[in-house]
Amino acid sequence: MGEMKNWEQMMVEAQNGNSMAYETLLKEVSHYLTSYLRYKLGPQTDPQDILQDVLMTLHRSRHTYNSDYPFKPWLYKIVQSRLIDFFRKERRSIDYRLTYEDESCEVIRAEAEISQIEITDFKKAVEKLSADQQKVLLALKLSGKSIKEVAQDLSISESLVKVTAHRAYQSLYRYLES
Amino acid sequence: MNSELIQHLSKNLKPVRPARTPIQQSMILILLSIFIVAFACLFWYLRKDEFHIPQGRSLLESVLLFLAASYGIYQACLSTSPHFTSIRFSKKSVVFLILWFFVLILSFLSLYFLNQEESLIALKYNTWLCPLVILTSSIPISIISYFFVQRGAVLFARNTFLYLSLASLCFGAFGLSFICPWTDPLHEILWHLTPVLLLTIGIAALQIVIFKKIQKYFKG
Repeated sequence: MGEMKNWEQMMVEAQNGNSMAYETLLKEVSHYLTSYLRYKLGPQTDPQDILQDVLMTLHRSRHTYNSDYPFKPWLYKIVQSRLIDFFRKERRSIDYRLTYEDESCEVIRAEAEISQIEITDFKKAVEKLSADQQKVLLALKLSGKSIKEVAQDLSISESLVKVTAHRAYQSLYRYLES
Repeated sequence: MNSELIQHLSKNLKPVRPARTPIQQSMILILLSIFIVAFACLFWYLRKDEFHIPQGRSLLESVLLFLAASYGIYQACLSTSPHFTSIRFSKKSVVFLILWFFVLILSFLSLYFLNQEESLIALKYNTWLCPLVILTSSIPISIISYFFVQRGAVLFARNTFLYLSLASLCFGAFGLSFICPWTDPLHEILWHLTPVLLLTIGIAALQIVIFKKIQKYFKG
């Protein structure tokens, strides 16, 4: 809640021309959105391009922010619009590939089959891990959280997060090797 | 990469005046549109048609058209504020248009059962002037509202420009209701309602294309 209030104040200051507050706000927002976009786009897509687009749109629309309303829903609408644009473009490019590049389609399909087998094996390997190891691994790799955030979420020390993650990686490596 | 962008954006940051609320924006646009429609009606009145105050059913239609136009403008202004915008096209914006359609259909049917020949008289003459009046009065409104609205944050261009073109054409049809001498329902369905619906899609598509081209140009 404190974070939200700060962002609102920073945005109002940015509207008044305070570049320091604006820079801090953009840095915090981009850090916050990186993990959100990674979660939305999946591990295959780099969120940096969309994040850049979001920051540009935020900059162009900064005069539309009204301090009577919360900042986060305003931000999410911008992110949502950029994500929709991205997915539309992606769908168009996928359609194009499927229609005009039959040969590449075969390659894509073969790659998809291989990656499907790898995913199945990987899922089995993750299931073999202990509950704590699974939690730490998913939080670090799927949700894109930092060690500090995971430690806070699970109410354990940071060093324990590192040890658990290390053990999880070793177990996975051993299972997948076999 | 993003840290460079952040530095670039925050460097030389200029203060901005917070945008007006959607209600304030729409009030300004509605007043401007009324002024343009009045001017267009005056122009056509001086040349050919007769000015009259709509009465009875025509008055109801004019009210519905004015409400459809005003609500369309309000929705367009709402859609340019990230606080209120929505991904989906609001069906509420076409409620008044649907009501207008029902009023016309019901009056046509009642007239048809009373006097078949009279109800179909509109099929015997072509009145291209009606769509022309709608178009000429709605084009200045679309241009002004386009520049007005794109100063906000157009996040979902399709919705925004559909609302805008719908509103500008409804204003055009609203103005026409003061100068069109033909009041039979079939004429209004064929030469007022149909052009409004068809031109809405056309003008919205044109506005979206222009908007995207301008955006691409500035990005490049």
